[in-house]
Amino acid sequence: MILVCGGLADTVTELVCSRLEACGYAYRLLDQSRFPAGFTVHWEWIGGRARGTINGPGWSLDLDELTGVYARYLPQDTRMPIAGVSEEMWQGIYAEAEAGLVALFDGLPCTVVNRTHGGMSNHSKPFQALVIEECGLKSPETLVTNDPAEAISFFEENKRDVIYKSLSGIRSIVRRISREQQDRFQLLQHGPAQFQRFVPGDNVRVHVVGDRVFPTRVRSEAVDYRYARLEGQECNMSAEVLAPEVEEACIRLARRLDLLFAGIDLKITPDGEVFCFEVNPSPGFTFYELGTGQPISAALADLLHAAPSDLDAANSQRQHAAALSVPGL
Amino acid sequence: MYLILGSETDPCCAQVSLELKTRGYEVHFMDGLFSEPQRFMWRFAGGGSLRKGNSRVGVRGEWEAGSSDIAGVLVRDMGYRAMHDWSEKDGQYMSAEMMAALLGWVWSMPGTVVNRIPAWLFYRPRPSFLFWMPFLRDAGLQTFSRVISNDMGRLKDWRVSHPEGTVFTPMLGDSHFQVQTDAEWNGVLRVANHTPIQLEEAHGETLIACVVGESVVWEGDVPEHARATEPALIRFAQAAGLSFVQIAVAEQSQEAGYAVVEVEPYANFARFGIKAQKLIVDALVDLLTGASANTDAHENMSVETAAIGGGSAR
Repeated sequence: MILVCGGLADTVTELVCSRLEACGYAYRLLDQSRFPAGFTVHWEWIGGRARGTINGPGWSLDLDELTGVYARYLPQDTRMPIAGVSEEMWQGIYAEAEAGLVALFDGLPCTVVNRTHGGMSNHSKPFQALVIEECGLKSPETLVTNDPAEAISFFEENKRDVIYKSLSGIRSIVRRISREQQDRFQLLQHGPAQFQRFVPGDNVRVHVVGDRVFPTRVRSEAVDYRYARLEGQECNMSAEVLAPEVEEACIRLARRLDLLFAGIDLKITPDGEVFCFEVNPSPGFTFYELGTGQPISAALADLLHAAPSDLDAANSQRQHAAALSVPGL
Repeated sequence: MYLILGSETDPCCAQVSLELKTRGYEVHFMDGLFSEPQRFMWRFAGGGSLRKGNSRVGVRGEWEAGSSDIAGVLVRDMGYRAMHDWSEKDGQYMSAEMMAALLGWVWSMPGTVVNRIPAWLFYRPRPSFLFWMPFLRDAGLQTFSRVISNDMGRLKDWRVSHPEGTVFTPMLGDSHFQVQTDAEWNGVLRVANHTPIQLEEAHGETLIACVVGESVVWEGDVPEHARATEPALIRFAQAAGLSFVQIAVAEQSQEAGYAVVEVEPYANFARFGIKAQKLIVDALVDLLTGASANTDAHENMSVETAAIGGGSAR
């Protein structure tokens, strides 16, 4: 049995449910726009392990039956208001209920796409850069500073072809620094910003699903192809074949972050150099699946359906990893 | 030189600074990192440059140091001082940016860092106790039973099986409420009508300890069989990547020994008396200066563990 935690208004949740249905895999939807209304749960932790049940509309499942959980964790503004309760109160109810779900899912022994702690690295791009490098992929020349003089120097060193983007997980549009924006360097005294040498080439979004890899090459003249249309630019996608070592590095990176499903952003230069920018722990993959026909959702369905092969081995791997020394860190 | 990320008015930071200076080391504070007059620059690219820690920090006109000049960092306060004239949205954005820069930079530092907080904890600084359960279990530590439920029948069963009372602990926040009387039970059941509630077994007096590297400092005198948990407490701290953590334990029974009831990754120094505080400071300074065996819990920890934690899922 698979548990999907999300909302049908979310296109990703909708696609996952449709795919599970098409594959004939039994699943239950925990509708997060309503939960906990209409659901009865009872989870007991004895000796550090969770056991119990979730009862939804017309169904009941035992946690021990689960082969996989797909959790989207929708934003608070997608929740249904609760009648007879103030907005502050119902937001508190949803937050409390979601915290319970996170605590449950993070500790379940089955496949969980994804446990929240793996995704936390996405809040810090420089931290992810450390993991990216450790996994054998490169980051472009980057400067993080609150010093205007350093930013100007970096800008000049890189032939004035520099982009800026957020350091954190807050979504921002990646932009090239224009001549007019150079005056804004003085604002850095209020806090740091991240600058990167502009890397020419095509973006490649790599979806890693367990051990399977689905790379999509995106051809666009826009600096940030996600916003190509806003810039009046085209955005064409096609399935890509990566060099084996790059594919392996992507799988290694997703595993390192404990992400069974990840969206990794690469850029491949005209002379074949590969740079990695970030790892998305909750990729909105529908755009790429629809654009290329790659069976990402089918791979995800298979992953959620398959019983974990050897969790004890996986656990021992994680313990082993914890003991590994990384000189310099 | 040593760097303390925190306030000079924080008693822990102040005492660590004093002890470092007494031992002849140079110490600088950075409070409210990354905005004027603090200066910060970090450059990196592929090819191992991240690990070389190519950064410089300082206070304009006072001092400046490259990452290789900094022998150790004590991370106590990562708070961001909001600009008074900024909008809430802009302030939140800048706060997130500073946090992101800080986490990456702390992990790039080549020297000893106490606490080089893992990403999963950095962004969830006060996780539910349930989060620690796999780590505690893997370390061989016991915990009291807990339940999350909105099943009225099962909650009533829980009440029957816990006649001595129970503790209602909301998932968010630090509150705990004893639940014993009919009125108290009716109150929590009303909450359970809206959302699943977390109940835990009630326990007696708690004992608190700080794990600092491979040292365990207890507050006050504690029974010998509480001290028996020390090796497991150190194992737990190391697996969780915490070189400075506060833990509370309570006795289950004479036979069953002590169980962990609280994990506080940002140790509350004020909860300890003068004698214990002195021991904690000495242990922290030993850890920073390499005078103790385990200089940095993270020397035994990969970035992987920093990102995901070392506790197994089952």
